[in-house]
Amino acid sequence: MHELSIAENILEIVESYRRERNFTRCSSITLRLGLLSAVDEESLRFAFEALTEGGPYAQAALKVQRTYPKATCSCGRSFEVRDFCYACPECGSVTAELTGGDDLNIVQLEVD
Amino acid sequence: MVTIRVKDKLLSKNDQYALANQEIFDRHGLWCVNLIGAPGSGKTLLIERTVDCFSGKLNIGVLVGDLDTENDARRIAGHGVPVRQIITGGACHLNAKTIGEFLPHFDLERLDVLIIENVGNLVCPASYFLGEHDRVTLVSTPEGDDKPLKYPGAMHTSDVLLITKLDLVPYTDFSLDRARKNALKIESSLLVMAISAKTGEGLEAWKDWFESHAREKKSQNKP
Repeated sequence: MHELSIAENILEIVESYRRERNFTRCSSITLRLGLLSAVDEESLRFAFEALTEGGPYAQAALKVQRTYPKATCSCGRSFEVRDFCYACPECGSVTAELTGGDDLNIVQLEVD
Repeated sequence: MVTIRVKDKLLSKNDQYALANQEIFDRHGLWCVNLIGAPGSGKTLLIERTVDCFSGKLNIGVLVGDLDTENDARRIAGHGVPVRQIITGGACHLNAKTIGEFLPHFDLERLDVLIIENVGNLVCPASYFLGEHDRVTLVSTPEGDDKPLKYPGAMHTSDVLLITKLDLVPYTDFSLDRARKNALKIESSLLVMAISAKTGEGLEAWKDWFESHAREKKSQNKP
């Protein structure tokens, strides 16, 4: 639901690096987006395109690295969680301990 | 071409305001709980019961969000607690900025608890952090025991699932066990409680949870 303001925040951060590093063109922005971040990638791309259209970042590609939580089950099995509804492939338990997968970061800019 | 490696956390504008709200709550030793649930899930009655239970023991303030009318605020004000109605004028959720704007209406130094009754909706309020310390999702028994599966966002972001209207179970196909299992499938750390605000069934456990969280926050900040 707040993808628009997250897209605004991306541009604020890129702009602050532009002032600091004095680059003229940004060709790509890489984000890390976790399953648990509650951000919808498609909505974020839509918002980003709407905000950058016709502006200095119109050519910047938004690259998204998806991350997923790691589940550690009480039976000892560890596995990656790809969906909110999951079950341990070993014992079927749905109450594993989840770690990670909540990233919402900018990790890299490619600039000239 | 130069690659700049960065590590900046992205925050929505809403989250920036929410964190500012939480700082204010923490500074005043105030515990804030956000109630979300579908229209008619029993949020207002739960607040009425809760403020009655703690009358003279905890100073509770209430912020109520609705699309229109001040009906809920009037109901709650009848129980002798400070209450403010936020009329969203059509918006389906409360946002953190609006909460911040309403905080000056309360004597925060005096309050121990701020209850926020969100707009009746299980979708949008789930993705708007308001700065609350705990989030409680209400699901009433007539809504069905598969409701937690249909609204994973609300389950995942909540601390408590409160199943309400237990007194109506005999008239529905609702299974408390199925509802609990469905909720825990989505969020295994969720605390599941069940009450009937009408008959009082299950209210003791709710009151214990509520009081312990309010006292814990108070002891952290108001020694």
